[in-house]
Amino acid sequence: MRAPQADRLTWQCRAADRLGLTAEPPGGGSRKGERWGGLLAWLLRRHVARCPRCQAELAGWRRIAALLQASSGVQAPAGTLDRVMARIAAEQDQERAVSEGPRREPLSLAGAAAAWLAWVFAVSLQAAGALGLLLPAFPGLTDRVFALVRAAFDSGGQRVREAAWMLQRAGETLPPGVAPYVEAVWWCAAGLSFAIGVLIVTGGRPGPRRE
Amino acid sequence: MVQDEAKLLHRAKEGDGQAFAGLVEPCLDQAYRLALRLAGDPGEAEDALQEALYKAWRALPRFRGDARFATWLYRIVYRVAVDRARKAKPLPVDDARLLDAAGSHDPAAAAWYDPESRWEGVEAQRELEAALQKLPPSYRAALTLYYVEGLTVRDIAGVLDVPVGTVKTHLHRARQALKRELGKERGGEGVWTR
Ligand SMILES: [Zn+2]
Repeated sequence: MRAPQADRLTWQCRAADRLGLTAEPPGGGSRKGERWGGLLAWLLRRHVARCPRCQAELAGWRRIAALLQASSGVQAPAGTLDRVMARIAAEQDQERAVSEGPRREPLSLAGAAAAWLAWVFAVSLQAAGALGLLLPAFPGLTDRVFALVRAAFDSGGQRVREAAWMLQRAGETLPPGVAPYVEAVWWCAAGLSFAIGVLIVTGGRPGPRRE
Repeated sequence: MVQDEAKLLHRAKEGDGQAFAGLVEPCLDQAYRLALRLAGDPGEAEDALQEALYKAWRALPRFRGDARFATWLYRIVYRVAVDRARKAKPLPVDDARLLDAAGSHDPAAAAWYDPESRWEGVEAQRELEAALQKLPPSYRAALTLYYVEGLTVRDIAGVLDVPVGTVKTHLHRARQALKRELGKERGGEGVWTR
């Protein structure tokens, strides 16, 4: 069965539908800024008030709105927000732990980097000397540095002295073509050890905390 | 009230989780109802809401405060719920054009109301929900926010991130589509027509 009002659908009915005047929720028309203003809306409201079809439409939408609003008491499951907050708190703790951990001071990092660069430069000089390119410019540089190291070891214990001699003897037994490369690797390793030492001595203090 | 929100927002932006919870709490149920209407399933709605809340927390430093916090949160809930639904099962019915193609004043839709009938109770709820679930998410969201949550058209525009005129069009088309779907739910009889 069809409602008889449906057959008398005028242009005003269509316009009122289009503007939502026949589908306002209960009390919806009084919501601030929600009412459709202007002369046309005023005329259409007058039409809606008198037209059986539009009144039926309005009553239908009020019923729909009431049914929809029956769900307005539905609440978020208990603990939803708590679970999200727990996840956020755990992440914050993690981030705090990272930012508050022992941090190297920039100065010690720069110092270590400079020391390492100096050693790389020394090693490259050694390598160049080994290739015979700079040999006339730096004669006996390696021997002199070794002499200094040996002197330092001489003032130390017998074991250190023996280790130094063993090291030198090992160097002497190497074939002439390989020795310069072993020497370069030795200097490089020594340089890295030195840089790490500088880092440990000067950079062990915790850095500033991040608020 | 607005000042309180501004204070909480300031603290939350600086990493205060309790302040964030204070902002969320007043609009949590509304956000859940929106997610529920879009997801159509309580478990999925809760998951979507949790994901949206977490995303809101991460995005909070970028929130400029030019809308209400609740509107901004609903927008995130809407996007997350729609994204999740799209990934889970792309529904052809989500294409608004399919629903609009049937015309806005077909006879089935026009004959939907009969003042003599009593369409109410659990069965009416079920039919209404079934019809709603066949509408595109933007229509569902617009109807829910307008009729259930009482948001203004301007606020709904903020949630859906579309112009105010588009919301008015959405509401009009959503109503027409809902009438048609209700007609189908009622076996072509038209709602409330016996
Ligand atoms: Zn009319």
